[in-house]
Amino acid sequence: MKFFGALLLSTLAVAALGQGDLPGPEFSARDLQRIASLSPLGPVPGDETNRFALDPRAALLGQRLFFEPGLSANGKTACATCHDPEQSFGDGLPRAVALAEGPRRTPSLWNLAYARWYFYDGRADSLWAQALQPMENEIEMGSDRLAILRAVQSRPLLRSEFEALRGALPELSDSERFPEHARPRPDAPGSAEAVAWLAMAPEDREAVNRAFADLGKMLAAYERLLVSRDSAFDRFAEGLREDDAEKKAALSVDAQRGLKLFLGKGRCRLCHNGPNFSDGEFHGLGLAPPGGGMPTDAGRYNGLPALLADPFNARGAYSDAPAGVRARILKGLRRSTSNWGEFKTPSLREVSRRGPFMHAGQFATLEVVLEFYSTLEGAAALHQHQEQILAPRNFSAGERADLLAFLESLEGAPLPATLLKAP
Amino acid sequence: MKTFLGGLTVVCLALFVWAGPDAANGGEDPLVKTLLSNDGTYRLTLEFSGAELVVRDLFEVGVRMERSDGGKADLQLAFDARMPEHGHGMNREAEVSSEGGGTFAVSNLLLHMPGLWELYFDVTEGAICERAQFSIDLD
Repeated sequence: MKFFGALLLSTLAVAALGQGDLPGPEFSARDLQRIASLSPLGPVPGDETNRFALDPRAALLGQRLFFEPGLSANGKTACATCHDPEQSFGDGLPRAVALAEGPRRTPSLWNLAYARWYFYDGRADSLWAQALQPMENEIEMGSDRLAILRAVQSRPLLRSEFEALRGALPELSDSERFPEHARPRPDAPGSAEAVAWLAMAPEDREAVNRAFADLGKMLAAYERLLVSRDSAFDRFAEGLREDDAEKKAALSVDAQRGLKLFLGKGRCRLCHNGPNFSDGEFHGLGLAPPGGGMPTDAGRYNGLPALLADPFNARGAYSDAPAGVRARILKGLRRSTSNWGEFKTPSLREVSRRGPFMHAGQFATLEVVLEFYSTLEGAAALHQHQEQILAPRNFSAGERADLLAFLESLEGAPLPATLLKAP
Repeated sequence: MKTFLGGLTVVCLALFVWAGPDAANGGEDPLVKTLLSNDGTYRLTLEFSGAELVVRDLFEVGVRMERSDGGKADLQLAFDARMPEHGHGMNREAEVSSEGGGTFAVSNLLLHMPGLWELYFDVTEGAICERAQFSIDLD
């Protein structure tokens, strides 16, 4: 009887403490090893395909270009319009809206220097090749490489910095050789832009492509600086390494329990692994599109052939290492039906500062994301190769709150204010 | 139950054998491992590009193959790595190139997720094909 009395008292005591006052979890030796694999985030890796990647002058010009609306067709849309520094380099919308609404969410730009593939479907294999596509996408910035280079040429500061870094622009004033608007359009070979492009001399097309690629490389040099590190979780991990109680206290007890779930029951780390909290690869969750129904976005299935056909990929003529490691990786890529509906694993650093979530903004908040992984309600079976280990995690409300606290602990130290606006 | 425990023992032994040379090389020299094909006809010596296999790191394997009985043979190699619990393998195809004399270089390898991986080395001699394999649990 005394036992039941003590049990009742302890139950009441725990209830009175509230979730946040529950004791912290015990971390096993294996947990500690796994935590060590998640932090710290190492130095920003180089990019052998981009000779400007580490050049601060290129990064400064890239920053100017990032905030320059004059590169767009309507003269009002810059990279920063959708990738707004005030909104964690996103736009807070379920689907991107620039010149028109797109089919996918605007991805955040945090820690892209650590990525292996770009876009949700991996159709670019370098940050610079990625940066080129939105500028010519009709529903994003809607311009073309001739008009973009002219916009640079007509702005004295941009032109002088650009030419100081990479040499003179092509003779764009010669309208016989360089039409006002032109770009390759495999999707619309009969369009005026495509016809104008094919009418250009091969060496002029080559010169335009090379300058356009260099522009992307300078944009990438800036974007590589957008790094999130030194989060509360990183301080906790450092405290574990150094057995420093003060640093260990950086992570709340709630977040510590969330971390334990992240490493164990949640199986989150199977895909969100490594110091950037992403395996950098592609997985299919069978998410229904906005509005419901079966998945309609092919994701990696279409991204892979687009990458292999991209003249700006790592093995292409405009890469600065066409026989390098990244180029060799492309040789091993094969499209498979199992790629259908796969999307790139996003980094979780800064995840609580951005949203909506998933590739088409299906979930408004992180709470809804955690509910999805808890039940997998609404997920479609894509094919026999879908992640067989993806099973409902059956999180309790308290566990979801703890996981949320852990995800919030991945907010890093602020970037220098000078990086968040046009220089 | 007996089968399960037997299987578990095999996996544990494989992991134990794997851990041996890794610990022995002090984490510096390339990891070297020898394997027999499943029917015992071929012996493979594997030399990895790093001291250990790590999730998300590109790596290569040098493979020297020979008949266990010492006889001469014209051998070919194919490679794959799979995650049996996940139902998938790598997100890329390995590049296998012959360097002559039964030696091959296997490159473009990346194990992108933690968990149990099976590495398959399929040795072909004319109409005969034998598999050599081992398991590794990456964490």
